[in-house]
Amino acid sequence: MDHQAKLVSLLFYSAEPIITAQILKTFGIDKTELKKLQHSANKSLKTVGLIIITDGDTMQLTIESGYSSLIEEFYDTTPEVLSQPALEVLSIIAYKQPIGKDDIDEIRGVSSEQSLRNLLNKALIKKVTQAKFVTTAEFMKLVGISSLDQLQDKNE
Amino acid sequence: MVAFVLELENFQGPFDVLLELLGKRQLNITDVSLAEVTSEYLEYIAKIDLPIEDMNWFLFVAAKLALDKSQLILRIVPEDDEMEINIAESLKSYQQIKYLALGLSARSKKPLYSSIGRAPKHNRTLLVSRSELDVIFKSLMNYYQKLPKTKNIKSNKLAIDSFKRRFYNHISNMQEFSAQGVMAKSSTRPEAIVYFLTLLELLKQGRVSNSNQKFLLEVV
Repeated sequence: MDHQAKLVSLLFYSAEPIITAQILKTFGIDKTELKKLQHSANKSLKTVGLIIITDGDTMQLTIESGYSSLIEEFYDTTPEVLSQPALEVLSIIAYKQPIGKDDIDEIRGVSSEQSLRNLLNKALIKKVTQAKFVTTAEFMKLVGISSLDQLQDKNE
Repeated sequence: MVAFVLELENFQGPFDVLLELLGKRQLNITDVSLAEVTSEYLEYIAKIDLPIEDMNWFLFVAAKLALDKSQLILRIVPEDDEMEINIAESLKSYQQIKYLALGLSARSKKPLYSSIGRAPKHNRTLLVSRSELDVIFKSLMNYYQKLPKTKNIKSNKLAIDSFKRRFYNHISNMQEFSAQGVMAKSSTRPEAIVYFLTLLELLKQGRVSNSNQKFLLEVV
């Protein structure tokens, strides 16, 4: 059984994101190889409307964004709608991560406490070392991207 | 959200554009009446339901602009131009963040969904199909016919019709009702059976619809 099929099987079975380190250990491969594996698996999965996403720490099998309206109609669900302040805070974190609360407040000129709490509750961001915030796989699902590199002008 | 648009003596347009022009030094802060800006902002927030965090941001910008303007009018030269740089940079950063937030908002309209372990019930699928309903109805009718003929039921068909009528009148006045609720209205077992059979008959005829897909199973 090749790694690609094994990876898809593991991700398919889990409804939750899988920790990347566990996959690396199980397959005995490094991060670069896993990235290549994700890329090749996504090429195959595209034909069946699925895509593997990763935020670096975790991996998850999701449905391609092209089918989101079908899911919403069939299951009578609606996508998450965030308030303007929450979107601003999320944007700052997405494009400048890892970033601390003070820096976020400095950019916005107001306290972002409430928005941060809201985003943490929705698991769209998480706290990492030195009280800095980064985005999660849940964030990537929300904005329909499979890797953070897909955020345009990320380094500007 | 409705944009905050200004109608000042020497500037007409969105507040964001005013800040951009000030940031790029294409408009002099001393030529802008901050009192008018504030007055129009108060009118603006009186008309819309603005989040408190957005109001805080206006206070922050207005305070910085007021400080900048007062220093220029009083010819106070700051020891360094840190404050001026901060205003310009802050405005630029904030404009950029607003732009990025718009992008994220657009992206979030097409999210990626994943398995949630157990999919929610498809709201258009009936738990009990029409043919299954037929089977339930027939078996209950069969059961009903085999019931020991009590004096009341045997001798009084009119009473059954009356129960049915009463039941139908009772539920026809309601938009929604629960099976348990109407069943509780029956005082005797035969009455409960008649109520239930009537309910099944109405379901079969399509005169009532089942929004609580569990109730049939619960009752059966």
